[in-house]
Amino acid sequence: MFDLEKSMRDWKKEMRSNPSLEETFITELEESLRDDVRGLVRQGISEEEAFRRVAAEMGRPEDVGAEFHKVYTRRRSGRPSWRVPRFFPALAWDYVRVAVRKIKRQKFGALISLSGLAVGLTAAILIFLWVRDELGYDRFLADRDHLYLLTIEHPNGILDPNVPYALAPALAREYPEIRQYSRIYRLGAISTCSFAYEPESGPKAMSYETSVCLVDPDFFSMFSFPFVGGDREAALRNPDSIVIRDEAARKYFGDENPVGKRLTFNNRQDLVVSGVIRIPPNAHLRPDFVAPLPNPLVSDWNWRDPSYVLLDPKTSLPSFRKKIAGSLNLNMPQPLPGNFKVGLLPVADVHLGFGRRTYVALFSLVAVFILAIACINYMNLATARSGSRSREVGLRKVVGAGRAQLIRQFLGEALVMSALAFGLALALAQLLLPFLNGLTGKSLTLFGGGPFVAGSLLGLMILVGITAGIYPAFFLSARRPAEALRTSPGITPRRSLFRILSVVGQFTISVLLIACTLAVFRQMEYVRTRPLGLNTDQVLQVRNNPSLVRNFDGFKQDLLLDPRILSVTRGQGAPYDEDYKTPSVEWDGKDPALKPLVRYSVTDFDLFETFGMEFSSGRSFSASLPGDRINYVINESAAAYMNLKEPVGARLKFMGQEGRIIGVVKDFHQVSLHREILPQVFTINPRFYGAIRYVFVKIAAGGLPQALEAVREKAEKYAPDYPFEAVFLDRGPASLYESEIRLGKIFAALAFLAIFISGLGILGLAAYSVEQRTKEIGVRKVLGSSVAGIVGRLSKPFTLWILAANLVAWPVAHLAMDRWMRGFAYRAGLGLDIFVAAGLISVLAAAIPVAYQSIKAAFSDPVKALRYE
Amino acid sequence: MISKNLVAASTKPIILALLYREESYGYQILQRIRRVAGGRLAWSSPMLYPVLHRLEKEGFIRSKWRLSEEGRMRKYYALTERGRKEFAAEREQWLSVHEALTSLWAAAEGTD
Repeated sequence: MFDLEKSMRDWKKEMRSNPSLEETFITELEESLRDDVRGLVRQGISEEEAFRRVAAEMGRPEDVGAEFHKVYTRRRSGRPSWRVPRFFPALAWDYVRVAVRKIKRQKFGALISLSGLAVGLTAAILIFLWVRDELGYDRFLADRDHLYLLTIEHPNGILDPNVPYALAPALAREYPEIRQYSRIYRLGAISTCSFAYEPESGPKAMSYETSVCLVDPDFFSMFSFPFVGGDREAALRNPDSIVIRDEAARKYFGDENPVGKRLTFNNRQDLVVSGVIRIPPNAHLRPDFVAPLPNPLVSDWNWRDPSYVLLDPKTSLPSFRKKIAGSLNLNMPQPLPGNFKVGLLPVADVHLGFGRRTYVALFSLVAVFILAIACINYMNLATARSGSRSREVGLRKVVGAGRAQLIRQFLGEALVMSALAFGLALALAQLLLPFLNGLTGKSLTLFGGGPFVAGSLLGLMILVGITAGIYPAFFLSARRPAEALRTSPGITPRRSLFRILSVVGQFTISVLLIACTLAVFRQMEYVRTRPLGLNTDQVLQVRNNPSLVRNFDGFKQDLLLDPRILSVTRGQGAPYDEDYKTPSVEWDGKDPALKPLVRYSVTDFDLFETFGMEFSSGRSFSASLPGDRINYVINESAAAYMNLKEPVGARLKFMGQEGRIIGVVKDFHQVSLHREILPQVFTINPRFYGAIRYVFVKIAAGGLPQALEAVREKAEKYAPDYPFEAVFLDRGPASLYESEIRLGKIFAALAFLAIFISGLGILGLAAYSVEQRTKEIGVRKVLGSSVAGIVGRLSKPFTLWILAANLVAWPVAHLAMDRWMRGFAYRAGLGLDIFVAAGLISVLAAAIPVAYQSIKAAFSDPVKALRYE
Repeated sequence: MISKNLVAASTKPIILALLYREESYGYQILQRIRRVAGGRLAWSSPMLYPVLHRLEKEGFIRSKWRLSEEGRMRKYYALTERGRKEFAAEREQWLSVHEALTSLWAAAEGTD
């Protein structure tokens, strides 16, 4: 039978459990409850049901109490005073003290965590600075949203940043969407450019320049390079004007104001400096000298330099792209074979658009990997030594700490660790920055990046702290107090799945990086040692100039009188350092449908002798046969391409000049091993001599410095009005692989870091595993176990983990490096040995710390071990 | 149903209005609101009592324990002088909101 009074008493008792509810409040509520019940009973509801309903409506004492508490408390949060606060200021010092005590007691583990985090953060900071710089190219350009580079996609998929000179004007005539255009005719890249300034008093300043560009009149209104001197509008108006970069100006004019001064070009043409520009550090286009194009080049379909267009802001890009895609062959007088697609590349993407983006993505990924490895170390060590903190956790819980509070404590510890590591990392990064800048040619600074960089780095620090701390925080705080207090410290689940997976993950990344490094090195070694078909040893490359052009024969004869000088020739560049192509080649029996694109070299007698190139048939150009001036030498690929049965003696028409093929030279690598060998024609016809940039001198072995002096003397004799500039081509084609060699070095550094941090982690884990098994080892020794047996037992799990990591890493590395190698037309291939070597390195990196710890343990005195604790 | 925010905002003027004529106690207040609003204003006892306490703390109402007809102690609430002033002020505010809304709605319908 339901008893209202008893239910009321029970209800009041329950309400009294809440300290916010004073007795009078409860009485007031009780009256209300009784009134409600009476009201419901009057409606015909049973007393029991009525009470149940009304009491349910009133709610739980906590909720009712909280509402009343809010009325009377002065606290803004309204949090009742008996609830555990989120943060005890009084405990803060205790947290610090406990953390410091733990670090002191486990110096070794703390040192490992800290140094791992610091090294990882250093790598991440440096990579971050580099990536940010890479991504920030050409932001300074005012019109960057409408400024595009014209590109041509070749039928084989290669994106070409260079387009024929006549293309941009033809497109601008046809499409009103193009507001302005400018070709960049890189004069300095194809012919000798020298500038001289003669001050009223003092010595003449003269020098060769390579970054000399001829541009269309709209250039400076498209590219908003800041003008330090002179007038932007008028800068290119006069055909004799030249705009000069501030750094180059200093070389000639020192502290004088260059504007209005006279610069003499190649000792024959006087130019007036009309402006001085400053080029921001991350601009992809960096001309030192800019002058107006003297010739509109509207029918020049040669293909060597970039062109830019400024589009009307209202242009619909997709439809405009569609319109111009096929415009190359429509405009070219001699259409090209295959589908050459004209495209537009936003100017801000030019820097990354030609393969660099992959590197940026790659290094960002590696930075994340390395940080992940460092964070995993922290997690592993923190959970591994959780045994030593389980009593603390238990006790804190017993005296009232909630789980959230413990989580905050451990996260806080991780954050402090990460802050310490971050401080160390900043110092390390500052130390290493000069090396990075040397390697990349940038001038990155740690603190010059403004609030964004500072904020990002700080964010990185917090992120690392949280990532590293979150798992240990949850793991440690989850222990139940009774259990935590009962078990002795040091007994933890010995091989948690998480720990296994994380170590395997760490080593997977390390092995991956090592394998990639080895693959890059192997390819570089292959590239370096592969017979290229030419020999650049002891070849001196002397800068050509108009006087040497005039007096070349005398210069050459004079040089050859010296017994140390073996041969002399000249050309646009070393045979591997030029890339000129023309469709204008005809030969007997040519299929009229075939539209060739053939490489060519404009050179002189003795080219093949100077570079040690061999003939497979026919002969070289001969100075005693004047008719050879209009004859041609081709390479084996050209002979095959032209399908000539008897190439020697066949007729060939090159750029309108008919002659005969007198020899077939063996194939050599013309550009870099990235590209396949192409058909090539060599000519020594003086008609094309505008482009001769260098004289090449082959010197006998031994006495190079003296020979260099002799060459200098002769050059100054035949060209007294020009400076002498020469370099040995000893590095030869290696200079073509700068970016790959750099990549290899960076990869090596990163792989080293990865394996170093992983090794540190293993060292820490091994130390704890040994510590935990001290007693077990003691018992085993007492029972007669050998040192080798104990070492084997202790290292077995680690060995298995590393092997698993290798199993995962090998296929991934193979996939990645196979793709990278496909970028080379000639490749070293990926042998199994690369992977085995990477595996061995990783096993070694793990074995040394594990062996060290286990041997130490195995040799320890069992008596001590058993007395331990 | 009236939204939660509006219910919360209107508790004060409603309680002041109910207590303007005569003193009352919790259960009665709830009953009268139910009568007036016909269930559209969902007030409950755990919501009402803290509000009454708050108004008392702020000095708009005062309470007195008195014996009820059933012979039990019951807490009666009555308006103070400050409460009367607050009643007028609240009324002023709600009327101006009401006026503004009325004219806006009239204008809105007029343009249709």
